[in-house]
Amino acid sequence: MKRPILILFFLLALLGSALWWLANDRNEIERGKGSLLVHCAAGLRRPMSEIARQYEEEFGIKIILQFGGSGALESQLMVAGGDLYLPADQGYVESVRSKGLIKESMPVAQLSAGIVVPKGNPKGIASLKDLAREGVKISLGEKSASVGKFTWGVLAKEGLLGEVEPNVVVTKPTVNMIVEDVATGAVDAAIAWDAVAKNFPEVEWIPVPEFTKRSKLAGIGVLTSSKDASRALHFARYVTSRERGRKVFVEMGFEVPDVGDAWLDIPEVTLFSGSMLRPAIQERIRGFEKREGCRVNTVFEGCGTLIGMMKAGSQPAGYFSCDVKFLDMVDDRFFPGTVMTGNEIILLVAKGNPKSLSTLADLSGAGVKLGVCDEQKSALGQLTHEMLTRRKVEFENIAVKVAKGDDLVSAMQARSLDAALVYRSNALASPVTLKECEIVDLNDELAFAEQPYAVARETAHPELMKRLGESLSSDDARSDFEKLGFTWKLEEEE
Amino acid sequence: MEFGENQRPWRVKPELPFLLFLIVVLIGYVGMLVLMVGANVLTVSWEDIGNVLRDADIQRSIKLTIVTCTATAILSVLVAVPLAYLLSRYQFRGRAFIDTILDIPILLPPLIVGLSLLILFNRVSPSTCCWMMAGGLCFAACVGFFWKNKGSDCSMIPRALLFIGGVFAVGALLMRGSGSVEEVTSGLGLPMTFHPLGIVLAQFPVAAAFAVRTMRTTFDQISPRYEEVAMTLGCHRGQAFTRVVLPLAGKGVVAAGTMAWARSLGEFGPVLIFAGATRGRTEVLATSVFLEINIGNLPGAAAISLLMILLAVVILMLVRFFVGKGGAI
Repeated sequence: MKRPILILFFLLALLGSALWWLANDRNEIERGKGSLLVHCAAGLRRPMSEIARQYEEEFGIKIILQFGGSGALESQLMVAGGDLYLPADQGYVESVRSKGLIKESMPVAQLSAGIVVPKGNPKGIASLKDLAREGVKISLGEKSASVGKFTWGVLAKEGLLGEVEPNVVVTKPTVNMIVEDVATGAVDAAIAWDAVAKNFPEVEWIPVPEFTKRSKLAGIGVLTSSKDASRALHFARYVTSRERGRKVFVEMGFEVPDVGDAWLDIPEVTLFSGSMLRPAIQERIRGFEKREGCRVNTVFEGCGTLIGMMKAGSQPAGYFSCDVKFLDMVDDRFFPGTVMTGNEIILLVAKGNPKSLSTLADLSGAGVKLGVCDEQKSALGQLTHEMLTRRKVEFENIAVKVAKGDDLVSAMQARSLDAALVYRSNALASPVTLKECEIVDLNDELAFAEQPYAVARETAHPELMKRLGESLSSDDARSDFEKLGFTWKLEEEE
Repeated sequence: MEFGENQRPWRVKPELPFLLFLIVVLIGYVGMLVLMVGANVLTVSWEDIGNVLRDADIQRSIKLTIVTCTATAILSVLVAVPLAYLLSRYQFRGRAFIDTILDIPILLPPLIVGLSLLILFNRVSPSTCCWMMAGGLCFAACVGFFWKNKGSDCSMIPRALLFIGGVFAVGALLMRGSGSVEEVTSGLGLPMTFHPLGIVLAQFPVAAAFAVRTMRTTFDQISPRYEEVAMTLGCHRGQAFTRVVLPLAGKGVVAAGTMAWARSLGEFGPVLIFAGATRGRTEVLATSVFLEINIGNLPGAAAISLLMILLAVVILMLVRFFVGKGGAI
């Protein structure tokens, strides 16, 4: 220490080079530039590490896995963001989604909890009740870990909490740690996920009905903080695809949900949709394609025509039908649909209503030129036909039958008709229409069409189609629909 | 009191029982440490150690551990030496307060250091940081103006504080709307959160606090008379510090650096929270152990523990041999 200045320079040089090395680390790839940050439950560590490795190999994108307890990760991602969140329990995905931090989510694997005991089960533990026996030492997950939240919840529901709790000698923040406790012999039993317990040769996993009947779905969620949502979705699709991620989960002893998408770098699907829905959903589908990095081929036609195409052999992956009846005709091909919107049939008349038409009965009057849709070609036509038949309106006044409601609106604007029976959305699709015409409400229970969205049973991409449905039923989509005169039907079901 | 035949009782009370007591304590504590290491050794086979050493992720972890600990130790010493000297030689208002603040990293659970860093870098804007600094400095300056030390009419220091506070305020105005601190440092090419550089930052607060404590004791033990003599011989304060005090404090500096290095080696909580425990990326040995336990690789975890013990012993011995020859660090 004779020359402090020299030593100081030496230290500074050493510090500088160390920091330089850290900042320009070769192992480092910038976040958002060809890498993804995944907040992953510690219990899913083995399969996810393998999947991330395969993905990196295939696409050259670095996957940064951040492991921890599901709840701890939640607080971490709330502060620091990231691209994806994979907790051990879908419940966390829902809770983070309700905070507006998750956009899409997809199921990854199924986790069943059970009792973990040392190999040979020296204490002879076979059921949950045995855990309440005196002298049994138990390690449980903390409530911040999904296994803990689940365990404590089930124990409370089964009324065993009071008896088991005195035996709980320790709680740990991740599922791996409680299995570790059993493996080292620190406790006699623990409650943990099957797939995690199978990693440890020193332990046995005993299924108990109270837990297996409530198995948990682990889901991966795409965070709204992701700077490259398409890439994040791409990886999420990879993790959940049958040929890639799911395969790894199965190899490592996880159960996976039955449904799952086939793997394609850029999936391509076909959506059949009633033409009335086109103005409401077209833009949104384009946005969906861009975000998901997929292709959605859309066919907008009258629903009768669409049914005809399906009967002729077309197999769309999804079907957004004009009315429930037109889904019922092909319900063998689709999963049960969700009614998203309703659309009312109204009477469109010339401005000022010169013929004073206000009810269906008025349409039978002499000299009224009425336009309707063809009952063979569209849902609107069929609904109109049924309504007119049941309300005993004369068919003589029908001057023209066209394929789609839009055509009737054009005819009205050309003043070639006195009245037309169309959807409210047809009348509102273009602002010009209401300058020439006005709407007369029919207030008839038959004058109503409900539009269900359904996913095909045979498609290779059911999850993708489900997400398309979600995207079409988001709050933003709702305002698109409502602007066009649709009524929102989803709320009632939720 | 009766002494019986022997008139000199202090002679027949030998020091043996006391020495035995000391030895028992020694055996108790050192024995416990040896047993702990021994338990680790027992769970590990040569094969496990071979596997660990061959693992590319662990190799990187070792390298990263050495580099980050060294960087943190140097940084800590560079901060600790001037700071401890200031606290040791100067009396000023608020010194007790600053002393308390310096103890915070030692008192706090290390996790909180990581959490605070995470929040600071991702939730707080640089502009807010600057405003807080400006506010604090202005307050300190006011304290300086209104409670002048007896016999000291020097208002230079409060003015300087006020000036620096002003600089921060200008900085705050300039940096309005620039996002979070992390975004700014990332923009400068120094990303911190979940990044290797963040490890140094996570280790630094605690390591530096220990280094400051060590240096403080060292300076307190060096009589100010040496500097005073040097100054009467024509040195100014800075020269007296570098030419007289620092050489005298050499062993203390080494001790502070070693202390900071050793603290950083074991630092786990803040690194986990702020830099993450990402395999092969921000993984240091302390987090390697955690990651191995997390996949149920107990022998692997024990092997890394042994590696850390070995590393710590080797480094400490080397430092003692080369720098502190014969000195007690």
